[in-house]
Amino acid sequence: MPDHRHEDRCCICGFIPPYLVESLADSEDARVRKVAFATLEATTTARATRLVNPSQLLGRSVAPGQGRSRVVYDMEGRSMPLPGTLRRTEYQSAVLQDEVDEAFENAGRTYEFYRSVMGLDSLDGGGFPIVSSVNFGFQVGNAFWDGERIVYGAGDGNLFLPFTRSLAVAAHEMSHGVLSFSSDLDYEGETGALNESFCDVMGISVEQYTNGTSVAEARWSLGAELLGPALADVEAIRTFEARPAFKDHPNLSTDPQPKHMRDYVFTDKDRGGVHINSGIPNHAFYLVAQALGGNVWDRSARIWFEAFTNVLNRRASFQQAALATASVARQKFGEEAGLAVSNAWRAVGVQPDVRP
Amino acid sequence: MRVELTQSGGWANLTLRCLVDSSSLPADVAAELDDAVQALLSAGMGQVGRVRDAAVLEFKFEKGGKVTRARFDETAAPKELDRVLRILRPLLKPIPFQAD
Ligand SMILES: [Zn+2]
Repeated sequence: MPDHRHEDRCCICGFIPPYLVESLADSEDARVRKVAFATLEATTTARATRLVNPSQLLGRSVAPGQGRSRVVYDMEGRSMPLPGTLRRTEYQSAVLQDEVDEAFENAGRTYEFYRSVMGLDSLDGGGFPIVSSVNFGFQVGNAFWDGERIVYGAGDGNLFLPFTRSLAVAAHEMSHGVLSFSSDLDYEGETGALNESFCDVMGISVEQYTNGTSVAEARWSLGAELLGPALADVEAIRTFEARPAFKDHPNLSTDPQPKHMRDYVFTDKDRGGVHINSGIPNHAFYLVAQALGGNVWDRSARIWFEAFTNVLNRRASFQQAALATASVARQKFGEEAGLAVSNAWRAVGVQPDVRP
Repeated sequence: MRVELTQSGGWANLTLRCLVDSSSLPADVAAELDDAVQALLSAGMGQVGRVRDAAVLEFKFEKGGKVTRARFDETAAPKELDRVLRILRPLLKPIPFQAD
């Protein structure tokens, strides 16, 4: 089983010594590198770990309130200091700058989903201001949640296009915020994969809700709109379906996401493969959605939201997620729904009946 | 100097890599890279513990028979990282995911 090597409740912390390993010539031994890195990681994490209540972050950008409050800043290709130059606030119309307006609109769509479907007023239920910073860094092909805002790179135009293009990415990053205010799931190993999966699930659910597409009509993959000309032959970055998102690609080879526990990837990369092993709970959600049918926001996404934000604890395992989602499904929507959820987890190799 | 950069993680979690021999670069770019690498290696790093989906940048520098490795979260040491990435990022190419 993946371990949970450190607490991860810290916020933006003070500066610490360089995070580097100097070795003598020819230290090619992977084990040596691994030990050296692990030592430094443990040291830096220990120094960086300071308990900070997420609500303390509220005052940093915009005052909290009730209702929707969106703010978009522009980093203009810089990587510091965040948040950047103010470009658009809640009551302003479009500024005709794609990245700014996309971030603004996608924040609004995600807010609307959480308010209407989940009854949640913004990320914390109390009108947390949704702050986005676009055009972060030099050719950054990524988006991340930095603990208080969504930060988007604009891509290099060759491999990746601006990450503001994807509603699912925006909703994914905001969902990291939702989790941080609720179960605060860890971000390492199996729990981290649940954290990632929840955000993918909410990301694709917001997309389907916004587009009004049913489970049967929906595209069950993520990231196609982010791929630039050099990756135009890649269909998507990941998919909820059993098949890989890409296969035998000349550069990328085959999508490494597993869809069953027998293929769980044990790795030191990516915090224990949080973006890899999320494929397993993602596929379980897909199977639930297929079984329950209709629109994903009617039942499937609501079951996942309730279980992940109100039932799971911050060190939850896949099995606990299976138990929680099946239990919520039964309570909210009856035996048939509970059975559909249990069967989906069983199909990905997780037993929902055994209390861990 | 030879520099290898591997980027992994991040929302997309695709692995990208480049390997650059500074002798193949124009003299001014090679000098800037050398200087930027020294600055990066001596930089303090701002650890941002609640970041989700940050990419990881792993460097391997070889100079004068000495190998130095460093690993940074993309949100750490932003100023120093930025100088190096302005040279290396356009050279990154996708490669298959490797678990180890
Ligand atoms: Zn994520």
